[in-house]
Amino acid sequence: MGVLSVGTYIAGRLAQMIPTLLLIVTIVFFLVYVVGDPVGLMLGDNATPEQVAAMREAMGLNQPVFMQYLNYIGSVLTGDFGESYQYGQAALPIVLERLPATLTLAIGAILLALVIAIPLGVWSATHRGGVIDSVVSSISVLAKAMPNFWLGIMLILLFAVTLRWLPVSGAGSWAHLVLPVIALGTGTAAEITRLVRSSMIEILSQDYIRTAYGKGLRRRAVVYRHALLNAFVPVTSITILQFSTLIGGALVTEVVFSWPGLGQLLVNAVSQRDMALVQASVFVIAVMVLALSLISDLLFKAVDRRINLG
Amino acid sequence: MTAETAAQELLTVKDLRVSATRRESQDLHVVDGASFSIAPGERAALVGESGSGKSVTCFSVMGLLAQNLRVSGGSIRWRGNDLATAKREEIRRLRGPEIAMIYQEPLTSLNPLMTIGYQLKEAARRSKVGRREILEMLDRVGFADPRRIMGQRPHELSGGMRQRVMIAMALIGQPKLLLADEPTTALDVTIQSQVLKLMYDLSYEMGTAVLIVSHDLSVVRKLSDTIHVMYAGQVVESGPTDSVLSQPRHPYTRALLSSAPRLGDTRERLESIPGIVPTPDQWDAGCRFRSRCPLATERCAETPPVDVVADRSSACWHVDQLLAEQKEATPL
Repeated sequence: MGVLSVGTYIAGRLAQMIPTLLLIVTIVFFLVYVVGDPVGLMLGDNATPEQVAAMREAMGLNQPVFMQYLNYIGSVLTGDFGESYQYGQAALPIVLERLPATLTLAIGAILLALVIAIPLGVWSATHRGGVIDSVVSSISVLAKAMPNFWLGIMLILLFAVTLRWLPVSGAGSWAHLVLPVIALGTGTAAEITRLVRSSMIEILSQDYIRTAYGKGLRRRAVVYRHALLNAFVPVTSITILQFSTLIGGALVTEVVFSWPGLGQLLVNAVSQRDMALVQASVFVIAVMVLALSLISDLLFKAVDRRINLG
Repeated sequence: MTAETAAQELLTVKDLRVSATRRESQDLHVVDGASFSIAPGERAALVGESGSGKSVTCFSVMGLLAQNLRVSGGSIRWRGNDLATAKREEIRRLRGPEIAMIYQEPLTSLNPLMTIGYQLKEAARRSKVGRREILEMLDRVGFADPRRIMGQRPHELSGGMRQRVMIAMALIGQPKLLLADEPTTALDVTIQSQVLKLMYDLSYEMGTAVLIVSHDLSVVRKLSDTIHVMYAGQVVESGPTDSVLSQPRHPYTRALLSSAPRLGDTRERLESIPGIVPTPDQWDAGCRFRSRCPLATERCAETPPVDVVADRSSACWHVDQLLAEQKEATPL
């Protein structure tokens, strides 16, 4: 496959994203519409019905919903998600400004998860039924079952409040990153550990593993080269999938740790019915998830030449 | 086997027993009392129906038994060392430069994500062989463009090509013994003999002994010097191929012969052996073929004596009757 066809493939995939994004924007628009408009919240309890009506007219909220929708889509197509009434500025730049913080948290959590999960999963698979395998299995069930906000609170209580080793919340230094990354990454680590274990068990029973042993290769070479390479495809696909759900988990974790990311912004925007901000946040998250799936497909292609793109 | 031949043997398997560990009952023996030996450069065959323990015997020589199987008795002497009791690391060092193996399933025996070149290099490195020799080897197994093959991955090759890669991989280190576990069963009939010929020609040039596992007597007849007939985990008859196949000394060998098609065969129907191979939990001390044997008597419930005549050995209570019947019948 040449560079040209990879380019064509990427272009095709990008084109396919457009209807998906349009659908997401539409769904979010109507969800927000159902929740109700923010005028009441904006003007407070003492506003007169006349003031409310004037405000609604100014914001275009008195028009039929279909007209509102068309207007909205029209401006979204030009990259304009409207203005956040809370901040008094365009919504999209606010969202993009918060993005790096969320990505830092999510990437940190994924890296932590992989660093823990790959060795543990491989060990469990190669020592199946042993003590460590059983311990790892039990802990991973527990870790998966713990809600990350609860884990976050427990971590704060232990390491920040009692031991005073790490800051309670906020951002600004590496120390601030430690607890949220652990809170967010633990469940993912458990998930990936189980996946690495089951993939490795399946792969280690394959004929080509026997061939590798038959050549006189050392156990380490067989497990870490021949087997782990084949585990790459399933593990990567789940990791990337996990990354998407991790963004969701990050919303809650960010609130617990007052982490200045997209999650905190979105939660706040929803409760304040800041429609423009909600729309822009969801849009950015959607683009991120779609981009991740494209990246994962391209990665597979690089490793596994049997997968035919297109 | 006499004392003077023992010194020159490459591999001597004696009373081999392989057991499967079972969770809730006693261990099950899947090979139970297999004995045979192979001399340097010899072309030997292990024949028998499915379930007789041929492949498991090969894998125990390689130290590659499945996790639930282990050698639980007997010995596997390789040039003086007993592999049955050897450390794992010792056996590992033998794999490649001393003993190599070709497997039944070429389609799944190569790592799908690694290039052919990489997988060959791994094998070559074990025997300190370089890239030039790898290319030469690929040329010898019949690839017109070895350099191109090196960069390809298994899915780009046909079954026959993959098996030729496996042959190259096994023979790259010029091993002393090549174990071939039904190497052509999974291949197209049209290329089976081609692949076999290649395997034997190369082994012959290198002086490598070959032990082929097969249930195809026509293959064995043409390509093997000696034959070991396995039944229900035991070797029931051994000897030079020609004499064993022309004058079997075990009723199972005779039954196998009459169920195999031969060139110029005028029989309208091939005979089949009545019944099935007893499963390992049904094995006892007596002759295990007796439930299917036309010659069986009560005596067969006792362990049959091993009868050694010149270069042949067999284990049947009724050899005399068997030979008498063969004399009466028109010679094959």
